[in-house]
Amino acid sequence: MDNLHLLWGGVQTLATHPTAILLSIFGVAAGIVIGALPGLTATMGVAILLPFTFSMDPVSGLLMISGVFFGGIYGGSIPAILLRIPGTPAAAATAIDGYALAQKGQAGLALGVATISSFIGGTLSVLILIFLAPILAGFALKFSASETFALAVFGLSIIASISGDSLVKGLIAGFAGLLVASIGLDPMGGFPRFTAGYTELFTVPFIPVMIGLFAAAEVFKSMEEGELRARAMAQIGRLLPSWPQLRGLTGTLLRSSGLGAFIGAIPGAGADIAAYVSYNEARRFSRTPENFGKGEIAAISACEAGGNACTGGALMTMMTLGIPGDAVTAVMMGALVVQGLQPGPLLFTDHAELVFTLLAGMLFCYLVLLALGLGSLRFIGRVLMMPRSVLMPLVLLLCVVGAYAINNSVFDIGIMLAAGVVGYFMQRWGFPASPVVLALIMGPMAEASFRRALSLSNGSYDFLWTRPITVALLALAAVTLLLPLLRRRKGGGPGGTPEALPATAAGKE
Amino acid sequence: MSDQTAPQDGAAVQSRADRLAHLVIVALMGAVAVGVIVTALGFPASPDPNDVGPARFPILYATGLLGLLGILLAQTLRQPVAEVAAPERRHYGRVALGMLLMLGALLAIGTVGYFPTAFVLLAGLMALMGQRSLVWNPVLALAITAAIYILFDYGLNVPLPPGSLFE
Amino acid sequence: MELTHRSKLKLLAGLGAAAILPAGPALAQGYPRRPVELIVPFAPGGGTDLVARAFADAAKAHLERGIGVVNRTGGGGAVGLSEIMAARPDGYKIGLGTVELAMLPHMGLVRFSADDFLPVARLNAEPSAVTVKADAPWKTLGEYLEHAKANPGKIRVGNSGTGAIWHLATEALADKLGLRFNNIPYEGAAPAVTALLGGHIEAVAVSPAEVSAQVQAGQMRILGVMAEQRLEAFPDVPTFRESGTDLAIGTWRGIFVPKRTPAEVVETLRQVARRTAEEQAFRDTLKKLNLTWAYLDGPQFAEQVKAEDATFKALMTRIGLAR
Repeated sequence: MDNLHLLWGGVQTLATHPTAILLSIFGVAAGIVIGALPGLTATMGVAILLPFTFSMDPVSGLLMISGVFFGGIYGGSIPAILLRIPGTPAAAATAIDGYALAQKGQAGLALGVATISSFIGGTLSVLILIFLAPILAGFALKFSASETFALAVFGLSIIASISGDSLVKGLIAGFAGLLVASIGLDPMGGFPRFTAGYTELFTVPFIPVMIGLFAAAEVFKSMEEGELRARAMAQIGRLLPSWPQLRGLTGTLLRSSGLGAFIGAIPGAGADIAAYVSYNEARRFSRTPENFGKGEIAAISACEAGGNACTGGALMTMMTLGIPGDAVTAVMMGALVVQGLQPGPLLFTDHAELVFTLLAGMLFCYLVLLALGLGSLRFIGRVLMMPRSVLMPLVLLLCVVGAYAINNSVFDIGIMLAAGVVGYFMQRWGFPASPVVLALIMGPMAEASFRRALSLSNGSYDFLWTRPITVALLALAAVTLLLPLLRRRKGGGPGGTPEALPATAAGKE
Repeated sequence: MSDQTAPQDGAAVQSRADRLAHLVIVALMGAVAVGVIVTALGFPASPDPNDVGPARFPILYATGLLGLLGILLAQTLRQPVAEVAAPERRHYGRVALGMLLMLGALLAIGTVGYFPTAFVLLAGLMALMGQRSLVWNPVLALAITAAIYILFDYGLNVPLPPGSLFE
Repeated sequence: MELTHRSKLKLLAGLGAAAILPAGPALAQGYPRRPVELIVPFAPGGGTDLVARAFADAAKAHLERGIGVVNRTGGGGAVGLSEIMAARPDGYKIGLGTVELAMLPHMGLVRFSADDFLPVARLNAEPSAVTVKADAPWKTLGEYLEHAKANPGKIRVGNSGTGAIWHLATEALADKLGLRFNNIPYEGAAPAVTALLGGHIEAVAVSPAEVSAQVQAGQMRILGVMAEQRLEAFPDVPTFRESGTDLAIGTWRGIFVPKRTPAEVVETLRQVARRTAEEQAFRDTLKKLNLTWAYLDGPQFAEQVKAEDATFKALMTRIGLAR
């Protein structure tokens, strides 16, 4: 294959380019730190580093930026697993099972699986970018407003998969989240809804809500416990999954990577959606779906592989069509333009040598991510050795700082605190938090694209049943929503203990 | 989340307190949903004749929420009530104190800035959670406050609130 | 930490001095005693942020204590602009204002008006470019406008959000020629360009830089730009004025301070902004980023802001956006 040849050329060029290698290592490391800190996103990291790339050669500069991008998405999983602080929306999906596993004393396994899955998902997506870009690139363009609407509805239907045991409570949490998501400027007309005159509420401060619901609520809950028990800390446990465990994940990894690359290629859909969709599909295909939500490694694997596979997909749309699908690729596109490389259909032919050196470098970045990730996990896991009486206050302070940093706004700290208090009571009475996050991601997308589709079709509702992708996605949504009901009918509910015993009790043995 | 939550099939029992809590939740959320619908009815129509306007979706969501709350209400009322042995003593007072400390920090951070706020917050929370050593508590609080400050402000170039008093 | 501490000491010293000496001139003479904060009302990585960072970088040579960029995002610029307006008028918190500060007030969304800001210098400006797919039947602006006249409401034009500058550009065109377009708002310019490329809409009105990749690849065609003169990057594209429609509308970005800032401070900042904007490095950076350098001194810039504020008010009232 011709591309293989070009890629080999790229590898050789890269090997003689120590600056680029060093900078990509630096980029990945910086990305992991940025992703791991709540409130700091890959976008922010890429934007801060962008000016430094102006004076670098194209390969070095772009690889550093790619490293931050990749590392930033992976880094979010670390605090999500260890402390239930989702650094990124995608990591909120990882937190569900990752934190549950950490509570069982297997934080190391959760981190190890997350790292390996991130590496495999990311690498596969770059390979897809290299070999299938011309075939898949046009796909992004098929997504008009009606398809995006159907995707959002499918995303919302996943609430059924992450509701825990009470579907009704999960759906209530989801609908409450949808109401929260409708606060702010209405997506079509710009009319301020439920803002009480606060300009800060014009766009829903989504990350503070998430940090509050997950991390702050968890700390509040831990305050209930007696001091003696509070000192006993979770173990890290083994780091690497066993060979049979890993083999058992093959299907999940391949499926999630494919889904992630696909979703990443769609403009406006990113790692968060990919992570939740991968979670849903992993559960659908799992032989033990009842374990999901209780520390299933396939769930962690699916979220991380799916989320990281988005990188290749998003880069594909940006590089081959010249269209940035999200904020990070928008900045990266700026970096390409600055280097005199105009993204678009001609990029791969006009600058083949350079592009393939870059692609080889991206594969190298993922190798670096694997090495840095596995190498540092033992050290990072030490966090759990800290006495709880110090760790939990530290987590709350990180919540405060993270909520502030995202918009430099004290108002957002208030939002975070309110979400934390609400999240505490939700947890107390058995209402899951994840549906709220999912609703916050998908709600605005569903409304905006539905109304846009209506405008595009001049007011006709035909778009709901005349477009094949739309119909397929809506059907998939219906299946996802109805499946748990059918399952329950067939199997009969398992006998349960009285509700609202905190999940941690299971992990404490 | 609460994986041990009983499926609401009417098989499991609930304590009196749980039942009351669920009724309160249904009432509160119901009031919010009704409030949303009333507010949304006052939204202006969109100038674009093809558009459903800003009110449609919130009303849809609120209606859905009301329906679900109805189901939850029925489930709660159907479920038999029994005395459940209190699991173990839980320190709810401590949770309330923690939340109050956070509220204090929220109100203070804008005026006095990051450094004093974070220090007092950390020291307070650590004392609350059992780290009450007169030496270690302030030392740890100071060290963590400074470490985060250096990491964000210098390492990552993300400024933390300076406090309007000192501007 | 060291920095803030030192600046606190200086502030205390300054307060002490102010108690003894007459306040005004003493304060301005020493300006700036500490780093100046530049508020950017949009997210890192966007066009406005890039202009701000390029400016802050180039200003190092002219402003001893330097400029720190702070992003205050939210509400389509409303949050950051409100903060600039409400900042203490001492020149230590200045802002990168955009065309939105002359638009948002008319929508009844914010508590400021354009008069609350004092323009110091314009740094960058981008006109609106009407762009269609390369295989569209319209080869010239005239053909496009004729088609629009014959089929009112049929041409779907994507923009970057209702009430955003590119939406107003389309509305201004419709208003001027008595046309009607079907405006489709997207979350920013990139999704609108994607929709055009996918053939879901007929045209977009965004800045030329946002379609330059597709134009160079031969997938799209710019029919005309709403600028005073032809663009350096697209010398073959006519302006609307050349084609007989007197329309120049687009975005601009510049340095603003709150209204009551002392004249001496404004003067210092004006000098700094002029010298910085004239740096070759600053011009080169903007060019690399596909942004158009468009320095304009404070007083002339103020006239432009005032005129456009009035234009937008009239336009937005006519199309029902004003509240």
